Amino acid sequence: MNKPIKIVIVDDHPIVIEGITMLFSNSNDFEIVASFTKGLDFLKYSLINQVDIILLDVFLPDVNGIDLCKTIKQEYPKIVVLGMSSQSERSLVIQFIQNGASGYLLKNASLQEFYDCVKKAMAGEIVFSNEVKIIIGQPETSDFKKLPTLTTREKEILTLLSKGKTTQDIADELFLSFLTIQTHRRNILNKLGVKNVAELINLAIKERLL
Amino acid sequence: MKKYWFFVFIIFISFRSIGQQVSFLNDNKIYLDSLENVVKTNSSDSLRCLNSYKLSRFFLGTKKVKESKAYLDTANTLSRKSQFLTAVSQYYNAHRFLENNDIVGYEKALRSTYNALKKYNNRFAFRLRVVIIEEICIQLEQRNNEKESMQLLLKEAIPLAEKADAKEIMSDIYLGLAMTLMNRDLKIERQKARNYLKIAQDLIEKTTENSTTRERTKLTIYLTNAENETKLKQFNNAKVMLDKAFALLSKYPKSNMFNMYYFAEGVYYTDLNQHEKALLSYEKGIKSCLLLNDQFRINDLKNAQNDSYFALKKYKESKENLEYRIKHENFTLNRNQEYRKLARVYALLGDRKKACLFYEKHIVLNDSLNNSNFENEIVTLDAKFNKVENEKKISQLLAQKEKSELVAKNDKLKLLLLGLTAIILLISTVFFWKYYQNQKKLNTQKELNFKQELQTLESKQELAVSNALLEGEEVERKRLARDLHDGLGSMLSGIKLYMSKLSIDTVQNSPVIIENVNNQLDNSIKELRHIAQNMMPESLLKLGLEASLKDLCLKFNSNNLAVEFQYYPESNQILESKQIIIYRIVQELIHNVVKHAKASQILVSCSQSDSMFLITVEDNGVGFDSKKSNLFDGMGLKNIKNRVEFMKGKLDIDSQSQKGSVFNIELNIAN
Repeated sequence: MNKPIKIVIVDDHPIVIEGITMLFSNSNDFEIVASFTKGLDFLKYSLINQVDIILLDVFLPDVNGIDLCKTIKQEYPKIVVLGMSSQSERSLVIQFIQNGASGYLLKNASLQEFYDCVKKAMAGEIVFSNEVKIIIGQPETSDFKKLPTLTTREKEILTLLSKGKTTQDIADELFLSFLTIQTHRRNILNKLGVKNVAELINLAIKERLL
Repeated sequence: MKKYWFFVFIIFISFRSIGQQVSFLNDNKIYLDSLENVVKTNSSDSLRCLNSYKLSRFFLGTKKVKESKAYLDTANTLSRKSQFLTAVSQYYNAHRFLENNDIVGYEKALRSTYNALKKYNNRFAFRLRVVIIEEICIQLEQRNNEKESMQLLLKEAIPLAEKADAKEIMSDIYLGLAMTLMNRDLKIERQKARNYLKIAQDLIEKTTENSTTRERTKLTIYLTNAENETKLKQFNNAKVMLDKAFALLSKYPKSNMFNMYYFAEGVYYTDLNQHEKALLSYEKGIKSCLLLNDQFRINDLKNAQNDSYFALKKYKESKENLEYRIKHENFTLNRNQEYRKLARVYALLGDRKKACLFYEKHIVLNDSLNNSNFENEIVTLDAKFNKVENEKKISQLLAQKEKSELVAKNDKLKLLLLGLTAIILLISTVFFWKYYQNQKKLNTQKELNFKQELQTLESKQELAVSNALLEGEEVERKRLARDLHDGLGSMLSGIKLYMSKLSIDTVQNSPVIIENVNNQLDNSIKELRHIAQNMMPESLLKLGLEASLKDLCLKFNSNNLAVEFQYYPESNQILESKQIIIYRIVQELIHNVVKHAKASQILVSCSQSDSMFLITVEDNGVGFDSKKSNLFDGMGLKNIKNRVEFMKGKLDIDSQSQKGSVFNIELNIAN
């Protein structure tokens, strides 16, 4: 029989800590060694070196869970961090993983999900609770699209630029301020990843944007 | 004319005791004796001096030069004692200039004497001054300057004579004026002369002064008057005058003035065409002259006589008359005339040879006269030319002076103008400056007012926007309350019902009930999460605007709806409160599209420059009429509009039915 996995829970709601403790209490594989309602308290934990895995709430009153995750992974790389939240926003999840977390769980996940995720995470896998998997699984448009779409206004400006109009000309023609057109112009160059108008026109012709 | 002038000249000179011969009525012995007596016996030096001068002048008149000189010397020695006498001496000594033919010097001396005498207010000085004026006048008349002469007589001599209360002298002056006028032999002037002569006659007849010369002057006036009346063809008047003269003369049988009377009578008869009588008169005159050995007057009379011979066709007598005159004539000019006349007389007598001879003589003389005339003329012309030259020079100088004066004047004017312009400029500058200052003040005031107004308006607007936002929030809360009540509330109520059933029911059904409760709780949590996320996304607070917007877009991304999200930020941090508003706007826009547009694609593009945040949301859905007036009646767009206004931004909606819609929003994110 292996030594039980030493778990620390960091969550600002005592009731959540209680629930999760209760969840793991019947199992010999897991041992809840400590729990904190404040993130910074964990860093002061004396036995922190013995901790195997931490269930870290993203939203803490004293410190941002995402930042705390990074700190933990930098100082104690051995500790496996699992994000935990009642929210399931994609960017949060991604940021968490990028900061070194091994997974992300929703607090309303089932007991089985908790067990599986902790075990898999200890085995080195990246784990998500089911609901999170759905969110992560959503395709990000820019991921597979080569060029970002130009807005109608940007297309107008591109057309006028190709006709050799200056920023002021365009501003006059579209009844917009010089600054607005300038911003749009810069956005177009940024979007299409070109450095100047010449390159932009070249690309526009190649991609049949005009 | 010339002949007449000589006549006048002689008379004129004669009674002024300057000419060659002094006329007298009586023996001058009484006069001379009285003067000599004073010189010899009187104790007063000044009286002796004055009388010596008078004697000197008298002897000069009677051609006794030696005696004249002696008395002049005596007088000069005496005169040194008094300033007045020295001044008087100048006059008597001036005659020396005439002896040397220095007419200019003579006149100069006369004038300086005249001025020197001005200081003295005694009768003698006045009289002497009148005499001096008269002599100056004679000089002026000889230069044909009759006008000035008359002026002098009228304006200077007469007042002086009045001062001196010398009626005889005044009469003499008027006589002189009359003679000057008669000189021109014009009818008008002769008539004027008649007036003067009348005054002169009145004065001399009224005077009671005891003077040696009074009677002589009276006679001269009568004779001159007779002459004038004759020439004016007033023969009766002339006769009266002649008679008066004769009556006067007959008192002085020894007078040397008979010839003058006979001359006047001769002229009178000649003009009456009574030549026989005229000849008789002339003959008497000549006789009287012969007695006194006065050749000068004889020539005159003979000349007049000759005309009468001619008139009577007594050529022989005329011939003798002319030959006599040629013999005795001193004046070349007259002799020339006489040659001519003689030639004519010989021609008339039939002696052609002699006629030719004298005509030749006349021509030769005439030529030489003409030559001398010509030379004189040349000299005169030269003088004239010189004068003209000088005048020209003077006029040039004057013109130059005028020019320079004009230039100076112009310069002055220019300066004045410049000064004036400068002043005007200064004034206008000051004026404009003041005006500008006032305007500036006014503008500042206006601007201030305007700003205040703007501020008031802005604050009003802000208030309105805040009110609208508050209103929006109220609506939001209502929706939230409904969501909580309808969704979460009902679910929790359901769970509670299950739980109560569990406590009552048998344990048999408990697994099923627990399962239900569990599911219900799951749903409840999801609902809660949904509501909470709607209220405030965690990612916005934790990860910022971009992440939260990205999440928002991804949340709506599905197989049926592609939501493209683009974000081009700048380093500038946006205030959290503003981030929330931006998030709300985008959220609302996407909600709208999802709810109404039935679109398959949404493009969300956000970008940021210094102080501006641009939001573009486009869809390819059914679209709507973005021009309709009740566009902002719905809660969604109204909220968006309020938020945009709150951010001092611009909202631009472009949509047509079936052509999708474009929302362009510009927000001001400056802190």
